[in-house]
Amino acid sequence: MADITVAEPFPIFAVANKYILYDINTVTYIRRVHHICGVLIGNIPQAAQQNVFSGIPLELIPEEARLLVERGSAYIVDDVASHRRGLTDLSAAERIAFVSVLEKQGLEAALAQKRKADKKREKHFEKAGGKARKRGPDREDTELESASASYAVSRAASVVPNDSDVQPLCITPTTSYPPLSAPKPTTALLPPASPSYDLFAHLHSKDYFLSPGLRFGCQYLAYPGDPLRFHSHFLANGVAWDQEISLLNIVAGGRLGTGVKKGYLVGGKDDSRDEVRVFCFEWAAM
Amino acid sequence: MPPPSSEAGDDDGSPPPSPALSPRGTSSTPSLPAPSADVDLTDEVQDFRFLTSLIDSETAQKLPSRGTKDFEPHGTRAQDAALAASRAAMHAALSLARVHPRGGQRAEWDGKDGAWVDKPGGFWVRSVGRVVRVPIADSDSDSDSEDQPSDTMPTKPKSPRKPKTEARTHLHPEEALWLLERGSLDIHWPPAPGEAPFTGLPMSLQGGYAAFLGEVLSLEVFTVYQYLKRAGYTVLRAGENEGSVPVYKAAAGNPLSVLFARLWTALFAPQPAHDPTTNTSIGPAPTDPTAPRVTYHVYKPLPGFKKTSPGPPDFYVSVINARESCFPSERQLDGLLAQTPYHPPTGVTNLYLRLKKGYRDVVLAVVDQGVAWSMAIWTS
Repeated sequence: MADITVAEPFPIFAVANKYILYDINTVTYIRRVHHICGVLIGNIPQAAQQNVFSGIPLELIPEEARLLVERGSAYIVDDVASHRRGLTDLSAAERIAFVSVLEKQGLEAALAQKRKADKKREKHFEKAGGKARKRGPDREDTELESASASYAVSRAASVVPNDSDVQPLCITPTTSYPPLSAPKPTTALLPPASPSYDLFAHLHSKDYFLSPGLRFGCQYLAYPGDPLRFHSHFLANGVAWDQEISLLNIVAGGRLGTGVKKGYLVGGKDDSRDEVRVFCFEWAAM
Repeated sequence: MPPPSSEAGDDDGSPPPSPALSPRGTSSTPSLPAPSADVDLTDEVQDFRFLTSLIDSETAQKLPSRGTKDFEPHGTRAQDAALAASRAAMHAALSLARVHPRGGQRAEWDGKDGAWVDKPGGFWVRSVGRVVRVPIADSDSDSDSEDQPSDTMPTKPKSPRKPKTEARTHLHPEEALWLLERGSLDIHWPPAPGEAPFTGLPMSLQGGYAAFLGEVLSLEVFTVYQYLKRAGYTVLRAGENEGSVPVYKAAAGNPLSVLFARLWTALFAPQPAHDPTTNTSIGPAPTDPTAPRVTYHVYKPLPGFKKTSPGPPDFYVSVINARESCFPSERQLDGLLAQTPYHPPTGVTNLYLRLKKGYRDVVLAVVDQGVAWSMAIWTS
């Protein structure tokens, strides 16, 4: 697969104070280039009854969105307002053009579906014919069986309908741009910085991949490489520079982290020196 | 079985609760295969190459096993190739479009917080959506009256008092968005002037999020809804299903002995700091909008389920945002638990089982940026 690239800055869509991406190319691109994974929150339509794999859309945590905007790689778009405006502004010609594009995609999808079904049927009939032939000679109704087998084979060839009979499928597009035109880049909207943003940006600058750490009771999970291929190394928690830290929290975090083969990491930024320090804890009891 | 004249405060003597009172549906619920506890596949990011094998194989319906991952990158070509393959599989799995047969089910955004369904049917109608009687729009009734004269029977003019209504299926935003994401429903924007109903532009996935998320439905709540639906549960809004919460009926005892029992407890029993048996009623949802509340009533998937009479829920789920809220205060927790049914651990003699069953229970679903996790809370 050739490496996918998208033009920067790309839009990040804000809905209900969340930052969301819908375009699969952007999702693949920021994972490869910016080391930002986000969280897939959607459904995979071809495997809809499971929770192990999730699909598009991709939710970016505010820290990730802020980092991308600060780098100048992305900008925030208010998607609700954009839809409201875009849908009323759409001209009749644009609507017709978009519908015809969907129609074409729908026809392609229908043809692909049909080809798959044809292949399956051919395979099935081949199998049925072969079976009949195999047990043929030592049975009385050989003629009947071979007749039915040849009928099956001929039927497999003849029953295939013409491609022109295929009705296009209706398509639910994944993104709204097109038919809407993407709004102009703006720097007006910047996701707010959480208190732990400094730690996030620091770890990210050290080439760690970060994801929300709710399942391990921390703020971020830090992976040494793409989480698709690597286990996480650290359970990261951001603290303020002069914040008092309860020793019990350190013990709890250290034990938990060691128990799941990860390091418990605490870090914060010293504003006077503009420097982020991180410390790692391990349970070392005998 | 002891006589029912035992004290009312202590529940050891009263008869075991009817199945309707037990939230876990002791008698009517067939046991579901529990997922193995030691391996939780949702704990870590999965390798999408296993999804491809899951979809491509025709027979395999089982979940893929956990893929092997490396400890750290060491710059070998084999590792890079494996990563590229994983990413390619992920890209391929996520680029598939949602398609619907022509002339299939359609729905239309209602302009504020839900969708109307055209020709409701299919697997989901049994547990999703509700029928609403709405007055027929003017244009429709006009066309109806034009049809009338074509009938051979002369029809008497209808009284203008009684507006004609029709039954239509309406979906809540979370239901509509779930069906849209699942690829089960073709939702359209409202038609432009001059277009027939249900023929507006098709709503994209992105448009669905923009239309359905907002004040009525937050993304946290939707994440939990979708998680439960994908796992196969039936999920109803708690606010609309309050009638299904079973009310506790204490066993009626001899009034004299009840009085004596009360006196006895008042005089001699140790006073706990909090007595869960003092309040057995169901409380209303809190008026404070920031207070945690039971968001959803959750039912195990059972064949005989009817959405018009769902019966007592199996679980009570409250959705909490991990970033914006702290753990509920004692008062909030009491208010939250009061929205769930009172089910004293009667007939359970084992102390640990009694503690585990408790008097009321609620499931807190904590959501941090798309990652959902749950914990159960009991009063014991």
